[in-house]
Amino acid sequence: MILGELSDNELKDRLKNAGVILRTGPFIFRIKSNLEPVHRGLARLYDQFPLGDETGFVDFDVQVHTPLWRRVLHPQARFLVDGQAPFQPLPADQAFAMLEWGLNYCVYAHAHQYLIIHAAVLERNGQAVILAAPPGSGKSTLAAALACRGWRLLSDELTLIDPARNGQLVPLARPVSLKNASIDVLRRFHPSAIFGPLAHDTSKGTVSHLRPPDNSVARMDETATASHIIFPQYSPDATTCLEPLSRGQAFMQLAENTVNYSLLGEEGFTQLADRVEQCVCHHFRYSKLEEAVDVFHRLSS
Amino acid sequence: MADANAFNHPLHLTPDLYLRHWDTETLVFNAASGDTHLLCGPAAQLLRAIETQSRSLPDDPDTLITKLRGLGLIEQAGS
Amino acid sequence: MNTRLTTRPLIIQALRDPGLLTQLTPGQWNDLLPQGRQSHLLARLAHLIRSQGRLDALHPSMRNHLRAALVVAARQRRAVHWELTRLQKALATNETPVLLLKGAAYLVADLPAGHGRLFSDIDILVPRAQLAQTESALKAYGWTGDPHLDAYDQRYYRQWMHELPPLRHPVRGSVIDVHHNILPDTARAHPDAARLLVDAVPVAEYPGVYVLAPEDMILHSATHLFWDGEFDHGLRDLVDLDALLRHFAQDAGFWNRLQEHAVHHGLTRPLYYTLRYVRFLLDTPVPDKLYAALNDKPSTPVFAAMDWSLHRALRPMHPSAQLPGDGFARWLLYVRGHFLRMPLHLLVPHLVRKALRKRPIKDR
Repeated sequence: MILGELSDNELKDRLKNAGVILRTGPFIFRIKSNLEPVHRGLARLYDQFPLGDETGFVDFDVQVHTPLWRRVLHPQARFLVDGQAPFQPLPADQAFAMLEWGLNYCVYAHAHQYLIIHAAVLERNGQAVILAAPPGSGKSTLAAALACRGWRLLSDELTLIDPARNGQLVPLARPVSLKNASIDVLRRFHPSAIFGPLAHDTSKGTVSHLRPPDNSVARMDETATASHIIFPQYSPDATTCLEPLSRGQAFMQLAENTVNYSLLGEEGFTQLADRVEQCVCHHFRYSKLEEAVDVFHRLSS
Repeated sequence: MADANAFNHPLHLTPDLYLRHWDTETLVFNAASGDTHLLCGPAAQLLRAIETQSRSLPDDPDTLITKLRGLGLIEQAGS
Repeated sequence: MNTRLTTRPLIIQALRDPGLLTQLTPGQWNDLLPQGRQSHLLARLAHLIRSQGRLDALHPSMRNHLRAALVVAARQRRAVHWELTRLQKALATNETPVLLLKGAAYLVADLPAGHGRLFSDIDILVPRAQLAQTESALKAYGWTGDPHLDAYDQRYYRQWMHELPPLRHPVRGSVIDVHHNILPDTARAHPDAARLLVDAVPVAEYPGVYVLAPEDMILHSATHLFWDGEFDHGLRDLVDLDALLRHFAQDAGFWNRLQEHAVHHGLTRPLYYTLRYVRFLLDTPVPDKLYAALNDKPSTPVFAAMDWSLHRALRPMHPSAQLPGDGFARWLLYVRGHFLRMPLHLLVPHLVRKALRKRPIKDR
């Protein structure tokens, strides 16, 4: 059964009571919430995601809720995992963005069976491209654009490398988080793109999430093999330019973006070095999305 | 080229190192400390020479040797 | 006694009998894993089931969580060993050897309590006369004090506490706490620090490195657990104590020596609490004779309140394990912990100051 098969009332009811058991790639979350943006966001962006067994195993039990006494005066959203709050509360209208950050938090704080790179990853023709860069470099915008042009989205910010499966990349297929101007850039680039609730004035500015392509969600159990490691950099007047990067430089930059590199010790080193050896590594500067997507199409054909 | 015999004790790599040699670069992971180092040019050449116990060290290796020892990548036997 | 109180939390049942993991329902796993994470015991459990060779018998979904916990524990193990080599270098010129306390000691002495244990800081004990020398030696090797500590904090540590302000290595991020005793000077009991150092035992693998004698290791952990006031690591510390007691009890005469050391250092009260709760929660085989002989309880009403509080605070902080009154119990123990460490005329201003200072941080 998929989430979209629940009626609106059923979804609301489950969120408020037993929780919605949602599967995204290898993780099963139980999500509870009494906040409208969470309900709306899930209904709009996660409708194709499989629901888990209600009496079955869940990896993380999460809640985004507002305490009763705070609902009227100054509504706040609190994120809880395992009954504890890892973050400060946020205004209630940011509840869906908070859920997304919370789900990411569960993965990078606990899923050390994987090497976790803070990077987007998409696949086309059996070739998976890792887009690694610090926030603000246009990585998510590029990932969203590629997803809108037929690339399979594995993740917009959590690249999971599975050492137990020969370094294969494990998809999550969750929505793409976009900020500020990128939201309108994407709307113009792909007018039929579907977005979740807008969260204004977050610590990252205005945030909204792009619905993942149906095909990416349907193939969330299919791992991919890394073929390219790209470090994108958006700058307003840049001419589109792909520059080769030495393996050593690529490794060091990738390690810097790897959340649990030092935690995994020699396994982390070996996994990352193997990926660098099997990939072509580039720096990529761009300003125009259409040109950027063309470059990526050529890479993967 | 200097000669490794110029030193009283043969140099060797510290234990627990993982290496990748890529063209002119050598990537080293020190599992004991958890540090990763990227060496290029003469430093990479020196480390390779010590790894293979080759006699052909880069010119003027003393400063480099001190540096690599400081990073905990090489040590002198019997030291 | 209500039934929930007598039912042990799943994490404790599983630690006592790791084979249980192969029989749990998915719903029970949903309680067990967060209990293990909250009480910092998941890696310990993972270690136990792995050493029984049954990790691979578990379903991959659950096994992944245990694997992830083992990854963290393995990395921390490695980091402690490395930190110790740095510490040896820095303190090579000190007149006395390095004496490790708590987690790092369990690890280097290869005690069962160190297996699958998580670490945060490294604690060492030095003679009081060598505090200044030790501090400057560590600073010369890159460790630095927290620049945000003000004059009050400095005085709080240096005048009242049994340790220096924490020293942090900015590159490696590791933290060392240098102690000159196992309780603050302001506390009610005054352990004999000189005797602790005399009785210390060398670690074979690390020349010049010592750990406390087995009996003192128990007393230190017991004191830390029952007199500190913060119980976030309470259950983990109790599990340490269980593992240490079972291990040391193999040695004839251990229990007698334990009692002697407790009397000498004035620490029979925390030892009594330790034995009471390891028996109750973890079935540790404690000789009845010793338990009866020790019997160092406070007055009946205080004891009842302690019992009520400890039965709550020694459970994992997860809804599936918590008893009603959990928050109040932890608060009571927090206040009591401070009260035991400092006389009232110092304590009240100290707590007021802490409370006032916490507020702006919370508002952020």
